[in-house]
Amino acid sequence: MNENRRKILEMLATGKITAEEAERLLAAVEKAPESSAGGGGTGSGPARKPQFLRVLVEDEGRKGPTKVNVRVPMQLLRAGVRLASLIPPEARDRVNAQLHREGVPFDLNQITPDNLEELVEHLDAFTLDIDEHNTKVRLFCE
Amino acid sequence: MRRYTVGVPFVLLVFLLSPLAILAPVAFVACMVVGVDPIEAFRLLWRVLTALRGTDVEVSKRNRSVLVHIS
Repeated sequence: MNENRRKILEMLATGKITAEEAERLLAAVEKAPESSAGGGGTGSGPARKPQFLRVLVEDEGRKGPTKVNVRVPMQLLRAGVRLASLIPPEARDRVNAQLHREGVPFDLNQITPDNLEELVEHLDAFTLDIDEHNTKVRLFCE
Repeated sequence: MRRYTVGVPFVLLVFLLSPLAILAPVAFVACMVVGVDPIEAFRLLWRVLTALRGTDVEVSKRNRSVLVHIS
């Protein structure tokens, strides 16, 4: 948090922001740790990495409602994607060609440990809701 | 609602999957045939297995709920 304060003061010193804007930003920065501490969170950084992938399924079937709640660690997702590196190159090319044919512009060769981390970090804002007839599926990260 | 919790220790999971070790020679030959490093394959599969820790699967129906937790 000190780093954020320093950045704000630097921006003020270089004239990028006015004193009023700096005051507002500093107030916001000071509020952030209070709210995270109040929530009982363990993350001390500005953005907490998602730890789990949650899949919630609710089905209103004839024999009564059924709920399925699956919580998968992100580590499993990482390990699973790393398995893609085991796919032989010719098989990977065939998969890529098939994906392109189906209209999915995705290249398996682009999955590297670096951009995998980036992908997982951005999943915290990912939410997928499917509502169809009597079934609801919700997928999100937490 | 009646709730059942089943905690599956990771060691038990490994023990249950251990009979699959019989297939190791076949998997080794298959890896060699398709040009995959068998040690790397084993390492990645082990990583997937260890990453299962913390997985929760809960199924609720009517007044019953079963939670399976891999610890």
